[in-house]
Amino acid sequence: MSFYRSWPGRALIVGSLVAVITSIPATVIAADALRHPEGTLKLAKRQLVAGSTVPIRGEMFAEHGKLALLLVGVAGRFRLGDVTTDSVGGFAESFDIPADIELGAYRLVAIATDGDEVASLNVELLAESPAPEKDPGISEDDGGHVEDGHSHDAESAEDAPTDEPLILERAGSPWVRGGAVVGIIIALVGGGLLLRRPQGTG
Amino acid sequence: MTTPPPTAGPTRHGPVAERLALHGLDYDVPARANRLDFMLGALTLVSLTLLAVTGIVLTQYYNPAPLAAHSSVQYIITNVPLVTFLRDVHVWSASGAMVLVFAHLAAVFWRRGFRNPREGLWWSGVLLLALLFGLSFTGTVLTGDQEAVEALAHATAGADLVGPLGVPLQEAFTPSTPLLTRLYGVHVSVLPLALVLILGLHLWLIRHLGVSAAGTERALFRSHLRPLGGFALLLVAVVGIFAIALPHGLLAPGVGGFEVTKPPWEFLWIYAAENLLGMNGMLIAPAVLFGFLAIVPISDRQPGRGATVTRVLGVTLFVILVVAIVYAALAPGQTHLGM
Repeated sequence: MSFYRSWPGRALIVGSLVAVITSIPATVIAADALRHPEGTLKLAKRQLVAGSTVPIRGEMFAEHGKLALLLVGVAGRFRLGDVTTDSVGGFAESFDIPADIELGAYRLVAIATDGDEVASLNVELLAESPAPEKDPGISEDDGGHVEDGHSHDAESAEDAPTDEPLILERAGSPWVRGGAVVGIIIALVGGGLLLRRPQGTG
Repeated sequence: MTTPPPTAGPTRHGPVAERLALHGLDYDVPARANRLDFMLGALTLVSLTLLAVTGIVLTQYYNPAPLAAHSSVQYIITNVPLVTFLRDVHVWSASGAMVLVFAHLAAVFWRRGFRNPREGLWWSGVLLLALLFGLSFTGTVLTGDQEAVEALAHATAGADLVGPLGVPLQEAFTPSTPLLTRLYGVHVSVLPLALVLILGLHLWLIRHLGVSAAGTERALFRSHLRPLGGFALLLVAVVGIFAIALPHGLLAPGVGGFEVTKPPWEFLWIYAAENLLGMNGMLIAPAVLFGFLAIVPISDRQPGRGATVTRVLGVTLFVILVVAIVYAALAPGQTHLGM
């Protein structure tokens, strides 16, 4: 008797089909019901200095919603403070970065009141530098030139994403290019010869 | 009546061949297997080999930390001539593998190579296709550019949709390792390992169940290796030509919360589904494709109505897939997140 005609075979097939057919829409509907708007966090720089004050902007969150901002890393979760979004789901506030937390990689996380994470950014926490960077676009006091809650860096680097490739000066070497061309020619000739020769039968 | 392979019988082997047990290649296969449409799977394997070799080199230069990923790719492109060429070979090999695997799938579907006793062969092939999509996705997000950030945002939104199953794809899954770094681990270890295991099963089944080909004429498998080697070399040459003529660029570092790019071509059909169905399209389109592929050996077990319906559905799905890719490539960009 064929496997398909036996009762375990049929049960397996029918069970699998029912599971697949019902689980996808059920999961989608359940997840849809629980979903709420996710937003975007913006920083002038992804490198934060411990003990400094950092302006943080948020966009596209739920309107008039409360958010908690935290730094989350292996050293733990550090609450920076709470914000309330405006009528378009945005906010722009400055937060003090604790001076006494472990340096390293963190995520800046926005948590909604139901405990769901609604946005995050990877950041790096650095020690306060004795010699501030001489970057003309960035002020020395807060690590990002911010006016009216908006960072110029953020405007140029984070507000204008594009699908145009960067114009990069590609590394080139005549040896690499020449080697690649020779390799291609050898492959073409070798492939052609193998296909052209009468196929042996053993 | 089956025609025996012309040189069946005692074959002389040299000392090296003897020690490498090359007589193991002296089994007979259908003579039709020497045609290109029977070699698409093996050529996919050639692409995967190129991907593995170039990928190993790239891992020496790529930094999977979120804040360093983009600059490490930029460094590869601007500072290391050989590695930037190998990166382009990597990208074009990935595209080549996807084209070849779809062509292989279509060819096997058309000649009904999934029928008894080859159902496992088909299903392992479907799993391999899913793994290739996984590798392609995780490879896309590694660059840290705008396209990568948007791909990652789509993945986490999709992970939200599937509830607990999607938790590993959330940033919050572990506080010690960023999602990008975890996806890098998946790209270079988990998926390749799974690929090798399932590929091993796939090859085992091909070896022992044989190739599904019409005709009674037989040939030795060794005679298959010559044309296969020829096509493999041509494939390597074509990938090299593409890598030189159309090197892969890099977008600016990604900014979250925006959708200004489109995914790589192999994901455009999902993008088209999102255009039509919103974020749920991201789940529905793959579920339809893979659901259909999974059911094919069951619905088309023997000649009859089921077989006809399966064939018509398969051709229709394939046409829809191609049309969706073309449509998504030409359509203006749309935003899907939060829809």
